[in-house]
Amino acid sequence: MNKSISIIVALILATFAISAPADPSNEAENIIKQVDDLLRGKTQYAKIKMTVNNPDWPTPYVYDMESWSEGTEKAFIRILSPAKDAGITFLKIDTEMWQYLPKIDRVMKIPPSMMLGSWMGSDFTNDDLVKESSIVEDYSSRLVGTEQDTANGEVIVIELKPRPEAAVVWGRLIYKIRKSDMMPLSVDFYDEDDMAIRRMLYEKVQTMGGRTTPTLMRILPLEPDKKGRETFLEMTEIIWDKPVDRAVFTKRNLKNAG
Amino acid sequence: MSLMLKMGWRNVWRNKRRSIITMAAIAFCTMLALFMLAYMRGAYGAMIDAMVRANIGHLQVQKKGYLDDHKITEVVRNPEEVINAIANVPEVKAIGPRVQLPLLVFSGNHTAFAVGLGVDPVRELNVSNLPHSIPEGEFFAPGDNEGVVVGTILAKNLHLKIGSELDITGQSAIGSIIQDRLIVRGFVRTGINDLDRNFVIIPLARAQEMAALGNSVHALSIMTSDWTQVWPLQTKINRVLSDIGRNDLVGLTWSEVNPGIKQAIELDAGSGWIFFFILLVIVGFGILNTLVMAFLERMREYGVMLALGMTPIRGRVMILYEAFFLALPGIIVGVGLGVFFAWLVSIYGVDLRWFGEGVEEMMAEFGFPLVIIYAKLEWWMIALSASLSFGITFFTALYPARKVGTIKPIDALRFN
Repeated sequence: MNKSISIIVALILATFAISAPADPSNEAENIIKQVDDLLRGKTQYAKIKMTVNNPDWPTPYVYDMESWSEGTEKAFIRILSPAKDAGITFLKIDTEMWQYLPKIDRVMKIPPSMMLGSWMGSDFTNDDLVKESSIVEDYSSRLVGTEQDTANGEVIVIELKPRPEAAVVWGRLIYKIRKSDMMPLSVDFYDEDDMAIRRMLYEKVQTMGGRTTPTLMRILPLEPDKKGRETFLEMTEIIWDKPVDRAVFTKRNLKNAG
Repeated sequence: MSLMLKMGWRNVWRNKRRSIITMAAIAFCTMLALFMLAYMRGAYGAMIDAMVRANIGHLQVQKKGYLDDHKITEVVRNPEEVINAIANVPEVKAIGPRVQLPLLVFSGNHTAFAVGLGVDPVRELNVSNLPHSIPEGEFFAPGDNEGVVVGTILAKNLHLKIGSELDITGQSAIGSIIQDRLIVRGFVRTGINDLDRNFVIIPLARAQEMAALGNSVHALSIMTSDWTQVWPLQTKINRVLSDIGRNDLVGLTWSEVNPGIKQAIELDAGSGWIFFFILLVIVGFGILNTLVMAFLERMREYGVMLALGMTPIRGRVMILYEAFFLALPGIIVGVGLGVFFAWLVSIYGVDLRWFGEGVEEMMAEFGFPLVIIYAKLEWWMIALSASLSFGITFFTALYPARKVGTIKPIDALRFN
C-alpha cells in the first residue's frame, strides 16, 4: 500500500513538473534582458578606440574616446584624439542627444532629421546611440532555436520584432548567443522590407573591470553600396557599476575639457 | 492642268465669306505656331543660359562617377594641370574650379542644412553670375579666406547680417568632423530658389582646407560663348583629357550635369506642342467642314463635268488646288503676323508679371530667374509653321478629293 501511494505521489509530482509549460517567449526575453544587462551594467565607464574603415578615405580614421553611461537613460561621450577632433562631446538623456563642437564653441541638439545620419562618420547612427538601450522595451523576443557552430558550440538564436507602439527603424533583429556562457555573438539587423542592412559582431571576450564581456564590437554594413566599410569599437578599459557624478550627464559638462 | 488651277482658285472665291473665315482660322493657326516656336526658343534659351551662368557652367570636368552620388571623396586631383590643358582649346572662355560640400550651418539659435560651394574669387568672375548677383554686401575678395557669401533665402532663415558669424559643421573627406567659422561678407541672389535657399559660397582654399581635400576639387566649370555649341566642345575637351592621360576624368555638358533643366524644358515644350496639335486638329476640322460643304454644294456640277469627260484625276487635282488656294492666303497672313509678333517680343519681351503676382516667385521656384521673356525668331520656324498649315489642309482635302474620284456621274447628277 505504501509503495503504491509513493508511486502515485511520485507520478503526480512528475506530471506537475512536465505540465508547467516551458514558455518560450518568456525565456527568450529573459535571455535578451540578461545579455543587455551584461553589456550595460548599472553604470559603465569605458575607454574606447573606434576605427572607421571607409574605402573612400586614404586611411582608416581612428578616434580615442571615453564614455560614461548610467542604465539605459544617460550617456556621455568625449572624444580624446586625434587632436583636431579632441574635445567633441555628446550627451544623451532618454531619447534626446546633444553634441558640442569645441572649435566653434557650439552646443547642437541633434534633430530628428539627423537621427539616422552616421555618428562621427562611423557605421553607427545617432539613433543607435540613443535607442540602443531600449531593446528590451521596444522589441518582443521569440526563441527561434539553436544551431551548432564550430567555433562556439551551441548557439541560441532569438528573433526580435518591434512592439506595435515602438518607434524603431528596424523590421526585425536576429540575436545569436553562445549557450555555454551566454555571451552575445552577433546581431543581424533587417529593415522593414526584410533586407539585411547590417551585422554587429561581439568579439574578444575578456574579463575587464571584474566582469567578463565582449570587448570588441564590429559593425559591418551589408548593403552593396557600403561595401568595404566597417567600424570597430574596442574597449581598452572598463569600470563597472561605480556611481557616476550627477554633473557628468549635464549640458554644462559638454563644454568641459575633461 | 492650268484649267484645274484656275478652277481651283475661282472655286475658293465663290463663297467669299466662308472662305475668308477659313483663311482666318488657318492664319491664326500659322501665326500661333510661328510665335510659339520663337517664344519657346527664347524662353528656354534664357532658362538654360541663366541656370548655366548661375551655377553649373556650360560644361564641367568631373571625376568619373562623381555625377552619380556626389561623394566628396570623388575628386579631381591636380586641377591646375587640367585647367592649363583645357585653357588651350580656343572655344573655352573661362574655367572655374569648384568644391561642393554638404554642410550644417548655424548662426545664433538657427540651424540649417546647406551646400557649401568653394570657388576661386578671381576666376569665378568670368565663370558664373554668382559674384555679380550680390544685392547686399560684397563677394569675398581674393585673399579673404574668412569670408562667406550666403544665399538670400538662407540668410533670411538664419537671420544673418553682413558681418555675422556663420558656424559650419559637416564631414571631411578623410572622416574627421568639420568645425569652422566664417564671416558673412554678402548675400547672393540667383533668382533660383533651390540655390538661394541652400548655397553658402566659400573661398576655394578655405573649403579645401575644411574638407581636408588638399588641392583637389570636385569639378571644373567651363564657359564658352554659346550654349548651343556645347556638344562639339565636349568632344574636344574629352580628347584633351585623354591626351594628358587623365582617364579618371570626364567632360560633361550642362544637360548631363543637370538633366533636370533639359527635362523640365522638354516637358514644358511637350505640353505646348500637345496644345498646339489639338488646335491644329480643331482647325483641321474647320477646313474639312468648308471643303466638304463646298463639295456637297457642287455635287451636281461634278456630275456634269464627269459626264462631260473630266477624269477622276483632274477632279481630285481641282479639289487639291482649291485646298491649296484656301490655305495660301491664310498662311501668308499667318506668317506675316507671326513674324511681326515674334519680332516685337524679341525686342520688347513679355513681362511675366502682367500675369499676376507670385509669377516671379513661381519662376524662381522652378529655376527660371528671368521675368521678361524675349522671343528668338529663326528662319526655319517659318518653314515649319507654313508646312504644318499646308499639311493639315491637304490632309483634310484628301477626303473630298477621294470622293470626287469615286462617285458615279449619275449619282452626282441626281444628288439633292
